[in-house]
Amino acid sequence: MEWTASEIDDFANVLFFEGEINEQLIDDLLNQVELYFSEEAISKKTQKRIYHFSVELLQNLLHHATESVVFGVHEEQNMFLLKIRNTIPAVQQLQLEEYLDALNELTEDQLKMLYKERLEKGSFSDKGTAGLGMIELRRKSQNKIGYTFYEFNGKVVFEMSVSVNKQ
Amino acid sequence: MKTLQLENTPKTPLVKLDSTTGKLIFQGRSIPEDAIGFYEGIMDWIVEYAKSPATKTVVEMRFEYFNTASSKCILDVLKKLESFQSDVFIEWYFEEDDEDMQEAGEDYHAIINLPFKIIETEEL
Repeated sequence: MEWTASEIDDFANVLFFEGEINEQLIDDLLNQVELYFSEEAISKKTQKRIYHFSVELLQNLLHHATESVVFGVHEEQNMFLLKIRNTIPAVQQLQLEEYLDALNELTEDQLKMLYKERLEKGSFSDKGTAGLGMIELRRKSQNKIGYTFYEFNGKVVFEMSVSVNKQ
Repeated sequence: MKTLQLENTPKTPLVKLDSTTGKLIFQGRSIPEDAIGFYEGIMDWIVEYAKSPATKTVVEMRFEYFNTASSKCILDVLKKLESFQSDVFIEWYFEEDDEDMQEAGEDYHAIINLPFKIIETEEL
């Protein structure tokens, strides 16, 4: 997809990446995130949360994305938004939508219980993931996960954003 | 049994497992993409150590941060230690005001049936 400067700024006014993800790029992006936020006037707790979310989102992309992805960090007045965009197989859309809707409806206590249950009783997938990432993002964000699906060039594009309140 | 010592890297913690003193230390960040691969060697060491552990084993966990894949591996390590017949003590350290690491310690404390201290510290 071709992005104009204005579109990039609307999507992610702090950090923007588009391309095929790999471990080295993740390292570079995480370094950029860490450096940028270490110089911002925000609490260490917020810095750590942003870093935490960046790790989970980027590593999730590495494990699951098969094509070019987008990762961005966007600053708003009272929060930072971490966003990703990637194509997914059409057959996964419904299940993913239902899963995110279910997570978004849980209370703080329910999320905590779900996390502990999945931690203790869950097993690793064949990709080496623990199935805890989305739960952790929802739980620590304290806000609902934003998402949308749309079609582009005959493929399903998934876009997700997770917020970190400024403190 | 030989001490296992892994130096810390930008993505993996310092690990020092000493069978003579019974002190097992984890310190730093744990965010490897392949967490299973990283913790495999550590688990192998602990399984071997379990055959003849020190009278008292003290585990110091001083994580700055870990990804969710590591969180599962860390639990697996703790569960293996839980099965020891000898005494095992867990000391979970978190940096001042780091509520997330404090909560992580509390999560493990709720699951693992071992003496477990959660300790706030100025520096990990």
